[in-house]
Amino acid sequence: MKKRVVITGMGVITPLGASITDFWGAIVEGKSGIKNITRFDVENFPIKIAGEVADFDPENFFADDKIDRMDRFSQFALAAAYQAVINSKLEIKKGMRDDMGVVLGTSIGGLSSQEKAAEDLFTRGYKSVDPMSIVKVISNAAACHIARHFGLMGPNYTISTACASGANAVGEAYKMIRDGYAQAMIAGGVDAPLTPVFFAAWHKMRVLSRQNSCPQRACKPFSKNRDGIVIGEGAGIIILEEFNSAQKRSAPIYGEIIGYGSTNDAYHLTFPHIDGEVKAIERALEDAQISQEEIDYINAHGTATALNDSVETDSIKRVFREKAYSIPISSTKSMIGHTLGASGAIEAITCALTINESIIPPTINYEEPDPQCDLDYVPNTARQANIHIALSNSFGFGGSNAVIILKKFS
Amino acid sequence: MEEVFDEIERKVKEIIKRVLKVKDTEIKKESSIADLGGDSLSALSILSAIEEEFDINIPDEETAEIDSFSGAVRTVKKHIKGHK
Repeated sequence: MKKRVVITGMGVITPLGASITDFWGAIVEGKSGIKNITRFDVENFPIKIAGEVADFDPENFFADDKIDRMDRFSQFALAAAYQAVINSKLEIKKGMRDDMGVVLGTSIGGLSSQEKAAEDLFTRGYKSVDPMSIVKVISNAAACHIARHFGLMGPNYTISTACASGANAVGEAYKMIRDGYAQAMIAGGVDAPLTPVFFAAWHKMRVLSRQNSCPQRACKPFSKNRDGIVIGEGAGIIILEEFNSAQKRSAPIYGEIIGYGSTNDAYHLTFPHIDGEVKAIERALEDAQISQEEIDYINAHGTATALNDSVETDSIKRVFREKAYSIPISSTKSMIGHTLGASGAIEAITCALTINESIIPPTINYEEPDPQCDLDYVPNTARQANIHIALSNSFGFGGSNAVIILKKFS
Repeated sequence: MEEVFDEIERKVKEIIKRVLKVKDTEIKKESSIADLGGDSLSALSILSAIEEEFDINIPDEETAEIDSFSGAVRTVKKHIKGHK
């Protein structure tokens, strides 16, 4: 029999705050975390803005003698996991270590350590390459540090589906508990992509916003004058538990995951395709055994590229038909930028908070209606609403689509 | 009759040949990137190689021009200093 899966803890590292309270307070107010980049010299880059996590010090979150062996992405993940474990009031006792695992999503893993090693090799030579480079760079490092730190001996793996990574990780962890392979899971997504080579490569794809002069207003999902993605960094981590065991220990319950759909467009590495997106949403609805009429809120992928936002709008209209026009839809990326592999997890957390707090966060910087994007994007101001069921879209390069459905716990 | 290519055209042709892995003779003045088997990502690679080869900056608004051999040549000529 399928088991019920509930969220009992949440933690975030975002450009708008490194705690659930700060993050939620800021997005409900419609603040922007986009600023000038300070992590590396951007003088020769045409684009100088991003959603940077300022003043991050891992020692403010956890004590661990291996901090120096972690890339920034692993430090983000462990800091967010630490918050989530505390938030869940879960004492990870010896008896449950075998039945608790970790599934994380990351688009690029420890890329900053790889770029550092390359720079050292090419400018200073072989002897200057950090021998810890491999353990910092490998994409599963973050998930393994979490397992080591908390002593979790259950299944542990890392998913990389570009910008859908975090949503796929939450979805796969949900399936493991639902189908009886684990009692509890730490799941989520993380990326720390503000590194010079990678950032230069994003420029060359010509998909970034060029609004250097007003960083806070740069990311404009669904607005006609949108001009592209703003890159962000961060992590979103949740604790998922089998419902009965969560109830037995009187755990705080922030919502229930009831559906997950995952597809690939099988079409193009960067161009989205309506069929793949629609199928992912339909599969999630089918998995949740609900009709499209029951969705009260959609947290959009909403990257602010011309193409993503119009294709996503078309996908929502194809699935929800007339109902599409009355579902509030918002893009968290308008405020924190696109945190790549972290985004799906941060947005699942946003859905859980929306359900619990009965407030829908806005899509900020919505300035001009676009006839191709003609739905209700909750423009610029948060909205009070009783939300029972929320759906979160994540679509990644490579054509990967992942959709999660969350329900108010009752 | 065989087409005559000027110096800029020959350089653009070399770039397209390299990126799309096509034969010299396949590239005609009226060829589109799609005719030659390329897609939007190959156009980006051609754009990047053109910027490097001619040391020019092509703004985002003009990237759509790089959908054919002649579009690429026109864009290069527009941005090269002193070229009319």
